[in-house]
Formats: sequence, structure tokens, C-alpha cells
Amino acid sequence: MEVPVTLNGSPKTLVVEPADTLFSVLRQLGLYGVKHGCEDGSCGTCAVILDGKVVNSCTLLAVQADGKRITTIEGLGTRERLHPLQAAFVEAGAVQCGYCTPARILAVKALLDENDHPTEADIRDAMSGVLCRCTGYVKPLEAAMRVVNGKGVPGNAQNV
Amino acid sequence: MPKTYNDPDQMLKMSAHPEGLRPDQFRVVGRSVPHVDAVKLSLGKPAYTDDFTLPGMLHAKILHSPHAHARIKRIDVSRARALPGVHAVLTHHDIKPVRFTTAGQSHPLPSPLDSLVLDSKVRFVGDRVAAVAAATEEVAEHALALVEVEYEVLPTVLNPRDALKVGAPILHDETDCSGIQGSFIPQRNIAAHMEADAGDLAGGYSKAHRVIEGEYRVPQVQHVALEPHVCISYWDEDDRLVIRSATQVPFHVRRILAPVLGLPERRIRVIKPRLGGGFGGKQEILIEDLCAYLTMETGKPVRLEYSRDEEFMAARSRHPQILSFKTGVSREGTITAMTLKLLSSTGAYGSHALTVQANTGSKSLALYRCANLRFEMDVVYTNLPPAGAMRGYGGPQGLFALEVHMDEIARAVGLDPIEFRRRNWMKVGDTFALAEALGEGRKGFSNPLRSTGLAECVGRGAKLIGWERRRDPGWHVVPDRPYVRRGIGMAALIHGSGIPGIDMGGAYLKMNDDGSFNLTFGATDLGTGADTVLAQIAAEVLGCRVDDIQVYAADTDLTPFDKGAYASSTTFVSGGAVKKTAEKVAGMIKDVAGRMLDRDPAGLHLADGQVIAPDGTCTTLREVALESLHVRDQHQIQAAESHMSQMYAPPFAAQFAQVEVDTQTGEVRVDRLVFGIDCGQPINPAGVEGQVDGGLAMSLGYALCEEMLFDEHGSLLNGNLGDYHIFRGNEMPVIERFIVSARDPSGPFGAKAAAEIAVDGVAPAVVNAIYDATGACLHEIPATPERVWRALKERSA
Amino acid sequence: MLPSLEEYHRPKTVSAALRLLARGTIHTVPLAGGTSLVPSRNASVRAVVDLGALDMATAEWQASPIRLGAMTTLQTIVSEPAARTFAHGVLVEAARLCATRNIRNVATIGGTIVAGGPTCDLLVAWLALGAQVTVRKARRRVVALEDLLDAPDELLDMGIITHMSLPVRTTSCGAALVRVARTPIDRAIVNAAVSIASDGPVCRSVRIAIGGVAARPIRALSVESELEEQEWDEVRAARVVKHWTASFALPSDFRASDQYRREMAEIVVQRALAQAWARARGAS
Repeated sequence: MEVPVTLNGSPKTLVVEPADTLFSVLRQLGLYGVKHGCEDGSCGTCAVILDGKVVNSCTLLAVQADGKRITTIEGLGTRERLHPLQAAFVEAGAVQCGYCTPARILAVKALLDENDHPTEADIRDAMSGVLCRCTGYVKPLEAAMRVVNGKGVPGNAQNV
Repeated sequence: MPKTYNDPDQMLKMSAHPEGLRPDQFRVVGRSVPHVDAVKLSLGKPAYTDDFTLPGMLHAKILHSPHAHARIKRIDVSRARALPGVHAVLTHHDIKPVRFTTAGQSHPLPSPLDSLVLDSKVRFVGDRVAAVAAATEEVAEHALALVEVEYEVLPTVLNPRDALKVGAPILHDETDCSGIQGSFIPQRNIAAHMEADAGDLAGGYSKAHRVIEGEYRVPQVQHVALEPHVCISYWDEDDRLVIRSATQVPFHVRRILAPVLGLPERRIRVIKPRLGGGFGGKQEILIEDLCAYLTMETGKPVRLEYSRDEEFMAARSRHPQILSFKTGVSREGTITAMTLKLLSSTGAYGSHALTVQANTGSKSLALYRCANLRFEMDVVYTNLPPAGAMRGYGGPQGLFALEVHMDEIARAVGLDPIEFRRRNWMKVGDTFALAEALGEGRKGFSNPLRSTGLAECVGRGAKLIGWERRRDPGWHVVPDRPYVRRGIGMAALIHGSGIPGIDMGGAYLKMNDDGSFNLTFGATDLGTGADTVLAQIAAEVLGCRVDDIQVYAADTDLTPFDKGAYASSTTFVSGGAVKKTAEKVAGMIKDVAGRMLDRDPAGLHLADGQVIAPDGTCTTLREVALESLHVRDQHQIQAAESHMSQMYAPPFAAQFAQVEVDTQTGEVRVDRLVFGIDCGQPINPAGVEGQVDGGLAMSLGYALCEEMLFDEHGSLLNGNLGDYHIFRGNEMPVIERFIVSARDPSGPFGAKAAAEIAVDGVAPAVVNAIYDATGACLHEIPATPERVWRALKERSA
Repeated sequence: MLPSLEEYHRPKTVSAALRLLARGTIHTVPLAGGTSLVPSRNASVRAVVDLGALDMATAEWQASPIRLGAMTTLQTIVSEPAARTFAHGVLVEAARLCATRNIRNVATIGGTIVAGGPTCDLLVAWLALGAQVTVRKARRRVVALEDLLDAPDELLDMGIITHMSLPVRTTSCGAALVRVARTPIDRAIVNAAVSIASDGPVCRSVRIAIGGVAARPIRALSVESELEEQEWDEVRAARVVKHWTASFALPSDFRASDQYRREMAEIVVQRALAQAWARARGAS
């Protein structure tokens, strides 16, 4: 089946079987930012933004994305120009093993795109679908709040 | 006397700064620099094991046993093999039977050699029966369904007390398993037995004013690293077997697999990419053996990845234990004698059976001063998924029981829980009486404690939590919620910084034309920030930026040996190797610069990427590099050093918890956690904080909701992320943490470990807080609502 | 994964959807959000009918009764201002507890009715709020949610849920959701929701729903009839509830023993009644 989508801002036609999940199709395209952590949508490491909302790509059939806008972590920033959320996560020490990091950043981005003055509770709820076993959720929240409060590093993160 | 490589006198100089700087003058150590891989990971770059593919790569799947104990009478894979797209199906008939242990540890192996790649007997629901490699995962799954197996179902034993009874079903009746003599008694289902005594136990009890006993239980819990176990193996163009794996122990994988695969070690290369967490679950040769066998069988690259179901059912977990403490206490409130007996179920295979439980002894009996000690342990085979290494490694179990027990003793003798501990905790100069007896399967090292910040951790933590509110009955009651009670509890904690005399790591450093460096080491960063910490240590010595150090690690061909990421050894041991290596390189740089500047090398300093003489004359690292590589007396500025320490430099910590208990439902809600950690000199404070935050979240699960539960057939009842609940970000308590720096002379720049201790304290602090709130004393975790409800009913009865 | 899935359809009319579902030749099921169906590993499903183009996602909070399209996502309930003030925000609370954000962005009301588990907080809340469900098969049929949960196969087979309706509420109505769980957002062990209409000191009507005591959430009908049209008396209510929870067998499983469930069932219903009554009377 041919499934036209907008992927990271560009039109793309996905060629899929009915049973293919969006997750497996994205990884076959070389978009490794979506990760496998479970098979039932509990862990959230496969998350993408679909028409502005953070969703698990492993519980969506690829064909369900027909005509929709998909944003993966690869669509956010580059090493030369990190997205403010990426820079904030790096600066705040919020990236440990990094396995949940793309999904978590996308979850916050989806929130900020519709609400630029979220409370801490809003951010926690936005991130609620992504599990983390490394960070205890403290520094990721701090990183998100830095961006909300405009204290984020707008460009590159530099090591000392 | 033959010269030894590791000199004990040098071990105690590890904290010294080569430039003579004081900690407040350090340039890079002690700064919260961003992790060297953070940008890459936040960009979602393909950095993990599974972000890799090779032409013709096959996908492997495992057929798992539905029975907890059975012999495979007949196994027919002809229909599976005939399925189009299937390249190999392996059964026990296809395996050269070499018993090994899946535990990734140093030689000589302290865990029993009781596992085969595929066996003719299965010993737990989830054990391996057969394996398939096929063109796609779907074909492989389909092939599994075509394997025909006839089992002779055997009686099962599901708890350790039953497993020890005469006439119990014996799991390891094979003739070719082996283990440490005197400890490994498979004919009695004993995977590890140990006893150790110190001092005069009977005398100690006789001097006691009171003797208090208690029995405590801790559950089997899971790592739940977000990245499952995953491995890709292939033959390279030199016909060497390359194993790319999510492992914490690449060098142990290579060494342990060689006889199993029938390949010499030199024909095996193990590479560790970025890991999505491990927490000890990847200190195991869990799937590499099977993946490699399939590559050898098919000649093709093979990928094997666990599903989340398999992670729960067929990976590893924390040893459950029943702990009995018996403690004598004097009128003055000092401990006169202490006995710890522990019984643990290690599941169907004995990986880490001896060492985890021995560590329970060496952590819980080393916190308080006592010359009269006894430790006994039996670690028993049962038909349940095997336990193994998990963050804390016996510490969370022992410290839960110990710290609840200490509160009970304090109450019995009428002392404040903190005061009672203060009268007993180890001070500088004290020695742990069982240090030699509780080595990891061999003789340990006894040394005096040289640094402790425990008192400061406890003092500051008590202020932050508002410890004195416990004395106010009014505070325990919550207005408008008559059935809710509040409480505060604490636990004092100790852990380790590597295993003295056993753990070793090496490092190599070379200088490049532009004044940058390549630093390689075997140490494995599993998301712990190890690569960054080690780069910071090197940069501190060399007077350059972390950005000028390119790290490459954990590749058995290209990096020096390291025992791997466990026992909280990376900063203390691997960091020592990096520091020594960098100091050698610094010496070489100064030699070249001295000639260039016509100054005495001994008087030169390294700072800001420059080499500076006392009179201000200077040159840059880049100029030194160009000079040494190209211009005169050409040589590569490089060094390779390793480090092993016999020194004992445990980190300490204090955990405080404030809880609310609903006395009608038994629900416990943790409102605040306060945690003070003495990790000596923090190399990267944000890294320490991150380790603490994550450890506290994991520890919360241990305290309140995590436990693997089985039915009467040995099947896991709650093996999914909905039923096995780990804490999410929108239900966490407020966390307040602080770092205390009681620097140790034997740690690099005074550093001690930080990785595991944060998992040790929430459970006892919460249980102690529940007592403070309600008077109900729990001896078992997790403190689920029903358990607390029962304890409340017993208290009122 | 749906390993046998061969056909995907996305019809534009309900009749076209029903025709596809009624084919006997190939096992065809409706696809709403897919958060339960897609990971189910159901090997018998060979075709899915995506309901996303049937214009069933409209939520009419101002209508009487309130009319929510079955394809309304759970997140819509959380973010809708009208939902926050409806029934003391119990639906928002329930949606947040039922599912995390990623799931809520995709999961639907209809899907939750079909797949929600024994302690699904939304099912419990909807039951207490008097939800009615419109099912389209050959004809439209409106059934009470509790009847649908009781006989889902019979009522839903080859049909599609199109709407849920909720009766509007007066200012003398109160609602509350109470649960017992290991952690603040873990699945409930038992949970209860109550909707109560007061008329001075009299309890005019009450609906009580409870989860965790049966395969799906149920209404406590006998308790309701004992309390309705009576002066509200907390002590008497507690006795009625206790009598009711003692009267039936409860499941005992790894989450909780039957003993504990029984006492918790009593407690959550009593607390939900007390909170709902206090809200009905404007106390909080």
C-alpha cells in the first residue's frame, strides 16, 4: 500500500503492508531515533509526533498515518543547530543512557507547540507516556522548564 | 621480593593532583560537564546495538520452555528447518556441551558452571529449548511453532526451604557441572554455601544487655532497562567472530565464550556500543552464546533481540532473600555481637549466586562497628527464572533488613534511631572484621576505613527532612483526613568502590598533531556517564578541555582490558588507570616541552592547553605534538597503564523518607525523599545527581510495588509493564539531594563510587517511616497496600 | 502485532463499514485508535475497518444529553474545558489515571468501552454517570453502558459504537471517583465512582459503579435502590454497602486477596458516596 505522509517537513510516500507498524517502517527508513522497549505501548520509547500529538509508533499501523504529519527526533535539530530542547537536555545532564531521550524531547515539544506556558504538572503529564529507569525524571523536567522559562541555550551545547 | 605492578603505597597516593592543585582549584574535575555522548543521543543518532544492519543478516528467536522442570525426551525440528526462509534450527543435539556460567565475572569464576547453550533439561518456565535463525522475525516466530517437543515433566520446587528438604527435586543432577568446593553442593540444590566468623560471638552475646532478633524478606525484582538484551554476531573478513552486544562486560564475554564456542579467544572480538541501561542485567552472557552459535552454524550475521516479555521471563533479576539478624546490644547502646543468616533462591541457574549474597554480608555487616560477627548463607536452586547481578548486588537486600532491624533495636533500648546509629557506625581507622572472609570467592583484603562522610550526610539530611517533627504527635495526624498518618524514617548506608584486590582496568592515551588526545579504555559506559568521567580525569591531568579528549571504549580488540561496569568500580578503578596513564603522558609532554623551551621539565605546569614554565614562558600542546611527531627525536607521545586497588574506600549515604499512610487502605504515599551521598570528590556532580535520582526511583519501586510473582507452576504472573509497575514521572515524590565530599586518599582525586548506593535506602527508610506513622512494623517489602493493611491489623490485634 | 492482517479499509460511511464487518468470509474487526488492538497479537484478525473517516469524533458538551462521538480521543476529554467542570471533573481525573498521554492521544471512547479492563477508571466513571451507548448494526440501538459491558459479544458483534451520551447534571448533583492502588497512577486494585443527586437532605437518585470485583466494572444496583429516595444517612449507607460487598464472591489474584478486595470495595464505595454527597450539597 502507498501511504503519503509528511515526514519531518517533507512529503514522503511510505510503501507498507497492512500489518506494518509505523515503528517498523520508520526504522526501516533508517530513522533510529524510535526505539524498541516493549511491545504494547507501555514504555513510550517509540514515540513520534503525529499531527502535533505525541503518540506511540508501535501501536499504530503505518497506514493509519495516511495524510498526516510525522515528526521524529531527526526532524528537530542538527549538531550545528540543536533544537533548544535538545540543548537544554544536554546542558541539564538529563541524558544518561539516552534511550528514552528522543521520545521525551518529542513529548515536550508537542506540549510546547500547543502551550508555551505549561506548568510543571503539564510537563509531567506530557512526558507521562515515556518511562525512564535512569534519571528519576528530575533533570528532564528541569531541562524542559529551562526552555519554558527562556533560559535554554539556543544553539550548541559546549563541553568545558 | 619480586616487584609487583600495583604498589600498595602508590594506591594511597591516587588522590594527589599531579599539578599540586587543591580541590577548589581543579579545572575540570568537580564540574558538571555535559556527557560526551549527550548531543549524539539527543539527536537520535544510530548509536545502540540494534541501530546496525549487515547484508544477509538473519533474525533469531528462542523457543522457551512452558514447563518449570522437565527433560526433553524428543525434539523434532524437521518441519521448522524445512520452512522457507529458515537458515538454522538448533537444539541440544547440535551443541557441544561445555558447561559455563552466564555470570560475567573475573577469573577464577566464582559462580557455578551449570549452564549449557542448549540443554536436554529445562529448569524454569522460559528456559531455552531451541533456537531459530531466519530471514525475518516473522519467519523465525513461525518456525518456533513448528518445533515439536516431547517433555517428561518433572516435579518442581518453587521456594528455597522446600528445595533444601530431603527428597526435593534436584535441578542440577548432571555430572559435568562444577563450582567452588565446599560451597557448591548441587546434590542438595545448593548453588552457594558460606559461613564466616570473626571474634568471639558467644562472648559478645553474653556481654549484651539485650539480644534482638528479626527475620526480613525481600522480593525478586527486575532491572527493566528500557533497552532489551540485544546482540548481533558475524564473521569478519579474517574469519574472526565479531559480537556486537549490549553488554556491561565485553572482556568477560570474550573469555567465557571461547571454550563454549570452541574458538580461541583471539578469534573473538566483542564490541559494546551505547547501552540503553543495564543495571546489572547486562553483566551476563545472556544471549551472546546462542547468537554466536547461530552465526557459526549459518555463516551469516545473526541478530537476536529479546522482547519485553522475554526480558521479564528469561533474563535475570535481583535475588530474593530471607534474612535473619540477631544482634546483641550493650546498656550503652553499642553493638556487642551480630549474626546474619540468609537464605536465597537463585532460580534455575547459579549466576552470581555466591557473590551477590556474600556482598549482602559484606555490606550490611560493615556499616557498624562490631568485632564479633557471624555470617551464614545458603543460596538455593529453585525452578524459577534465574537471579543474577542487579544494581546494589546484595546491598539493597541486606541494608533493608539491617536498617529496619536497627530501628527495632533503637526502640527496644529506648534510643533515637539516629543516636543509636551514631554510637555504632564505622569511623576512620575502623576495620571490617569479615573483610578477608567475604572476598568474591577468594580471600578479601582487610583495610582500615580512611574516609567517611556519613555523619555529615545524616546530620544535614535530618535537618532537611525535619527529623524533630517525629517527636510531635500532632504532626503525625493530618487535618481533614482522619484516617491518614504521616511519618518520617531513615536509613544509613554503605556501599563499595570496586572490589579490593580483584577489579582491574587499563587505559591507553595518545597525543594527536593538533594537541588533542585519543583515550581508550575497556571500561563500559552503560548510560552511567563513565566515558565523560574518565575523560574529565584525563583532562584534569593534562590541563586541557574534555572536548580535546576523544574517547573510544569497550572493544576487546582496540582497548585495554577492563573487568566491566559493575561493583561501582569505574570511577575508582578505571579512573585510577586513566589518571596514571595521563600522568605518564603529561611527563612525556613536559620532557618535549622542556627541550623546546629550554626549561627543566620538572618545573613545568599544564593548564589551558599549554605547557607553562615558572617564568611564564610557554608553548601549546599542539606545538609539542607537532614537535614530537614530526620535527626532532620523533616519537608518539603515548602511555598505557592499568590500576587495581587493594584499598577499601566505600561511599556512604543517608536516606530519609516522609510518608503518608492511609490506615484504612494501607496505601503508602512517599511525599519527600532526602538523600545525602558521600562519594568523596565528585568528578561530575550533575552525573552523581543523575545517578542518585535514578537510583531513588528504582529504590521506590523496591519499597512499594515491584515484585515478580509466580503461580504454582512457576509461571510469572505479572511479566509486563502494566502489571509490573515501575514509577513514572508524574507520581514521583519531591527529591532533595546533596553531595558530601569525604575524599579518600585511594580514589582518583579523592573520588569514591556513586553508582549503586542510591538504590539501597528507600525501602528501609519508608518502612521505618511507616512505623513512625502508624506503629505497624513491616518485615517484608514491597510495602503494598495489602501488606501494610495486614500489618496494621496485626498491630491492633 | 496483528500477524495475519491482510486488509485495511477506511470507509467513509457507516453503512460501508457495517458491510465490511458483516462479511463472513474474512474475520474483520473495527479499528479505532488501535492502542489495544494493534499490539494484541490476535492472529485471527485478517482485516480491519478504520473508523477514522466516519465523522464520529465530535464532542457535543452543550447538548442534552451530552453526546460524545465514539472516536473522541481520551485526551480530548482531559483538555476540554467543559469536561473539567462536568461532574466535578471526574472524567478528567479518570482519563488521566486510565492512560498516559501517548495513549490518550490516540485511544478513543469507543475503544475504551470495548477494551477497558476490570478497573478502567473511565468505565467506572461513565457507569456512575449514567452513560448510554449507541450501537449501529442493521438499526441504531441505544443501550446502557452496564448492559453493554455485561454482554459485549451479543450486543456488539459486527456492529459499531457511534456515540456515548451522558445525562446533563443539575447543581445539586455530585460525583466522585475513589481508588486504591500501589502508587498514585498504578492500575487500581479496586475503584468506585458515585454520582448522586440531592434534594435537600434527600438522596433523590444515586448511581454507584465499582471496578476490581468482577471481570469488568459493574453497577451496585441493589445498593442504589436501598439509598434512593431516602434521607441521606452515612451510617446507614455504610451498612448497606457492607452488606452488599459481603454478598458475592470476589476474585483473589496476584494483585490482592479476596479478603482485602472485599474490605477495599466497601471503603471505596463508602468514600465515593460521602465525597459525592458532600459535593452535591456544595460542601466542597
